[in-house]
Amino acid sequence: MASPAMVTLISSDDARFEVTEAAATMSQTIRHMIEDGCTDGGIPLPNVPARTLAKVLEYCNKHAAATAAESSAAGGAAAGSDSGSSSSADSAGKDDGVDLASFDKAFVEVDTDTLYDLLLAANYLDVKTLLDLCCQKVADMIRGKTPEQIRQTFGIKNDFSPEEEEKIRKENQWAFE
Amino acid sequence: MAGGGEKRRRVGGGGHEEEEEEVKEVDRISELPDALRLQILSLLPLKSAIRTGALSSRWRGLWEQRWPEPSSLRVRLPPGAAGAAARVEQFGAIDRRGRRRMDCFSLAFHGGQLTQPDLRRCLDYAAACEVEDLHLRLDGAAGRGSRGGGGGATRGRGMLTVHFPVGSRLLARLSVRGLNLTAAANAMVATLEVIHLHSVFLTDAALRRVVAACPRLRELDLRYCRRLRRIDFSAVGVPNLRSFTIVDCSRTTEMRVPVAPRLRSFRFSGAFLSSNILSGASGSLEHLYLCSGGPETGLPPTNLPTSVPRLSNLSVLTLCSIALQYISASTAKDVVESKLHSLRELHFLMFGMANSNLADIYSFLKTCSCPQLERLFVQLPTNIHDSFTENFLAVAEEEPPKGGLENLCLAKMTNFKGHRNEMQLVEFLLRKSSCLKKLILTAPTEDHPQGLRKIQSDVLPNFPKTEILHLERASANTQIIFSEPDGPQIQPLHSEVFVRF
Repeated sequence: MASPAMVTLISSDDARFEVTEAAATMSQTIRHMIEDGCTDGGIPLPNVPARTLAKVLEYCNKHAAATAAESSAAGGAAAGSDSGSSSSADSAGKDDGVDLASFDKAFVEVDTDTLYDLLLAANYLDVKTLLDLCCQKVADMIRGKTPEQIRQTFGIKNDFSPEEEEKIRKENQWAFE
Repeated sequence: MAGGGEKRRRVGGGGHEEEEEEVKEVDRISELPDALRLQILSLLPLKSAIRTGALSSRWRGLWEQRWPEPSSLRVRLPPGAAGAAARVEQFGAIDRRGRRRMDCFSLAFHGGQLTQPDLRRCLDYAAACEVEDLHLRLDGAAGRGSRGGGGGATRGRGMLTVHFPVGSRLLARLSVRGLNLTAAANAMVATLEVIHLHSVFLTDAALRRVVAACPRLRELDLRYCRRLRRIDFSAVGVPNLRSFTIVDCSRTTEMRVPVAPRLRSFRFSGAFLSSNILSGASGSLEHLYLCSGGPETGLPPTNLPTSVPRLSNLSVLTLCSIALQYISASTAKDVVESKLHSLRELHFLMFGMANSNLADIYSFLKTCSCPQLERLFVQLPTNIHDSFTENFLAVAEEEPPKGGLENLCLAKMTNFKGHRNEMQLVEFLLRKSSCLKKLILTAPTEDHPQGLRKIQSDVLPNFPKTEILHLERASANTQIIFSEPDGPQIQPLHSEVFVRF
């Protein structure tokens, strides 16, 4: 089996990362650059610092590998005609899903600064599933909290006068009860 | 698994992770591009999304843009010929918008403008857009309190029907006015928290099914639902109900709510009935409003007012003169000692101010001592003749209470005319309230609907300002004010009064 195609990514602070093409192309931005043939000497990512890029690639590697495992398992199941192998492939696929979900959950258990970095990077690199994951994490941190609790969680400064805030609450009183 | 992981970092700047940004107190979430913040907002239930509007000026109103324009749709058909044109135009707007997520859908129309299939179509549309806040309203004929030619109790002829559940998976708030409502058995609307029904024709069973379908129901508001006879939640339960308002559901004779563990606010206006709700919620109730809905003849059996002295957690209480009458009658029978420890605000709605009414007020203050009472509001009747009667017979008068107003700092009496019993109450308040800062007395000025004449303070010949200013006061600092002070009106918390005086 030929070794997988590799590409080199260069962070904003000039750190170089070598990753599989499968992992790198989870980013639509990188996929387009590869398609355009601008890979010689590495792909510069001037908006993403090394620390964040490392974290994003951890996510991409995990997901790309899971996708590969899934398609090979599906291929194996299709090739093997006996019923026994197909059921084992099924259960392997399921384990994978559980594993990936718990990986995702743990992946966004980070401080809010890292979370914002990931959001911005996922947005710039256009890694849709990662962006969704991070947005969902922030939404989960907002959901069900009072405005004061949300401000505390995210360090938001309240710049309303008491009268202004009261007016906003009055507009949709039910949502604040 | 994930075999490609180890080699991901080949060479870094120096092999260690560099700190990219110094730690500083910046509000980074508000710095995120709008597109990202909108994506986050689109993952929230409407209630949480609305709350973000109160975070800071950078979040104000952002949530309203979380769905494609318009993220809320308000269809309003004016009466008459203009309605037909508006209908074509606004239904066109619905078609153009397409079935995409939406926060609020409101539909207001007049009788005869929509058919049942039209209404069905609107509801299907709202459901397809997963609307969270839905308002349906028939204007005109079935408006506030009208009995509409005998249609009060039975299904109005030609009235459109809403079938519950209305279909949206995410519905949080539902408001219906002037329509029939039927309900499916065994429905489940896990997100629904607020229900307002106004002049809605629904059966007792339909109401039960609606409540049973909403385990998260926090607020239930029933007004002029004149088909209801027995409101019974014994079997369905209201574990999360915080606020319950019933206004003039005039055929209702009984209400069974044996357990309401989280009920904080109960407002009842209308003919008093028999209910166990106040014992079911006695531990949690903070706000209570009881108003019999106007002067009545005869006193039907009720246990609502007589439960009041036992509600030890009340902080705001509004009682009408008839409720006061019940309380003083019951405390005359059995000696009840009660302390409303937490009561901060008390509001009396007096339909009459005869000697017996004053006695009821005194009796209430004696029975229920309110050591923390800070604000007292008395809305007086607007009758022109003084209802004071000389006590010719040797009947013992109710003595004013000795103490209990140590913390009162504001008293306000509206519709003040200087009648004898009103003066006695003023005298009593001034003599007993050692901390009273302000006493506000305002004359009736409004036009009243029930044939009462407009009264201006300057045409009241005997408005005894001088006399009042010379009354004995427990506190030298009490300010007596004869008009509404400038600035925002000083209003009782329960300023929404459901009956006109």
